[in-house]
Amino acid sequence: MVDLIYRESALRGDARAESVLRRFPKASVVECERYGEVFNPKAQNFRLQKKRPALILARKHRRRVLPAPPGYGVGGAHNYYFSHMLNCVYDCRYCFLQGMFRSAHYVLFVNFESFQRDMDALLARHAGGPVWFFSGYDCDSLALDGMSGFADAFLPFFAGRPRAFLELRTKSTQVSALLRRTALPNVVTAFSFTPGEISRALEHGVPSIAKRIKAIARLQRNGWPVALRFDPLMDSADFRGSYARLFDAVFAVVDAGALHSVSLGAFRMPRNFYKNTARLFPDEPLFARAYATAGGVTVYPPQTERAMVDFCADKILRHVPAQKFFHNTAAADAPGV
Amino acid sequence: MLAFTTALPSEARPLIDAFRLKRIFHEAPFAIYQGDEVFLIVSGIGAVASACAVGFLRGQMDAPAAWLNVGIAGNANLAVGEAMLANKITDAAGGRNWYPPRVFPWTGRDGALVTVPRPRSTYAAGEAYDMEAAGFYPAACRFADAELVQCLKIISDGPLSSASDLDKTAVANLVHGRMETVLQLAEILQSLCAESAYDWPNSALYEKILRQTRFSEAQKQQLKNHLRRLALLAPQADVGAMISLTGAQSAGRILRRLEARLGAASRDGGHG
Repeated sequence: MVDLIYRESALRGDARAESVLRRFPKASVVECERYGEVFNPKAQNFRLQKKRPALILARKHRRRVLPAPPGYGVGGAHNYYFSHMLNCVYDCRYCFLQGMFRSAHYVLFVNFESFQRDMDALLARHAGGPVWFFSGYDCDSLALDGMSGFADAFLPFFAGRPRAFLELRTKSTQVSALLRRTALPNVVTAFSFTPGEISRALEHGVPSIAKRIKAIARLQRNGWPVALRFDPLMDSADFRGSYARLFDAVFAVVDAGALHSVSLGAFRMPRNFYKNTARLFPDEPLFARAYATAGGVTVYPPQTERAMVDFCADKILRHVPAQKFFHNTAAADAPGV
Repeated sequence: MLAFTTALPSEARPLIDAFRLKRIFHEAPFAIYQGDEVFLIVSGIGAVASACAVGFLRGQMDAPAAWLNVGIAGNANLAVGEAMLANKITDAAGGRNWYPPRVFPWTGRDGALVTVPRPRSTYAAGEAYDMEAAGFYPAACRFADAELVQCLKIISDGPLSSASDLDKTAVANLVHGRMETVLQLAEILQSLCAESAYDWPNSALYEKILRQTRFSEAQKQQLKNHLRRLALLAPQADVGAMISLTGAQSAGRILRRLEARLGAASRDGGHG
């Protein structure tokens, strides 16, 4: 899968970096001082790189665990997000990462313990109450878990800290690291969905809806909390029909009563990222249609968005109680896959 | 389109023969050759000369290109005659590094390349040495995506084989011996270059409309954008007929007509 790996020279001999390198014995290993030398140069083409991303092994030195935007959350008072990786194995055309980053290479920050120290400091700052840590803002939390060892490193950490809540946001079916362990009530795996026809058109490489539903069912059978994220909602000529079929398929199998939460949010992307992405894909119908701009964010025209959200909220609230339902908007934006 | 750069005429000779290139611009400051969708420029030795040659050649071409620097290099580990694709380029004089992204499968050798200002006779393990890449690479990245800019080096000297023993024939033979690799890489880069160029479907109609009606520069951009979007959102729409059926004569009326059609097409979605 990966035949070119960049490694920060300071990671020579680092146990986690070496463990990743052993998984790719045929890959060329190129040393760099800081990952930004490889990741940030201007002339790169995200679309071309997505054909064959390299892996960059790096350390995250600062700004590791950041406050979530005000208003974002699934019921908690203290919300933070973090990214142990940059970029995603999937290729979703609506994803803001294409417009935010110049490079499609995967960056894996291997200093997991530094992230955990930061989380402990935040837990100490918010003594007594629950603190939420959202993973999966700049990557899919689990899609490359077999390579990164993220879950194996973080599940024991959260097992020992019941006040700390972790959201793993994913479109993958890579749940084996969870299933090997006893379920943790403070680790929520949140699965993102769009309808099948939209997923096939826009979410390249993402497992089928049926496979993801199966992964949810396995987690639920083993006692793991699961959440659903219908985010982003994507408009189409058959919006109502396609979302109705999606909800029917999901709620026919998923134990709605056991769900931690369900959220939705219409497609939205910071205006600059949208422009960058549209330039990368001049042949993509998604970027040919008309959008509105609200507060520097590209969104559907308000009437369109209202109709989409109302329709889906009505359908979802037939299955889950209102206190478990959350609506993400451009104003109070969500970390999201 | 593919643009080769070499430092020496002897490095260029096997490429000129393989791609059947003809010399053009006889009065130019660099020797330039052209063939079918291929250019080649002989820069002379050194990073500055290489960067200048890239800029000069780009000025002669009427379309974006992929760029491939082919030349000889010294290396302590690889045998003379081996080919190596640069995965890291270091400017020994300035200390800066570049990392050419590789978005294609590569089963050949790759490695770090250090550009030095003067020939050297000592070789550190794991590095190859040339005198152009640190000029060529950043210059070519001004004109092309970094994925379309690569350096292929053929090992010519090392601890047991001095560079001073090389003559023109030996250099040409070294490059000739790796022509299969050069051709393979050239094909990959040409294909990537073609892929990254967007050939929008309503371009002929755009030209036709411009011949019939006067548009300001801003209106031309709007027209282009509207036609591109319509081709994506309503591929079945006969835009040419739609415009002529309205009897619209002015640029403003044509644009408004297209905007109305785009509004309807947007409401229909565009995917799914």
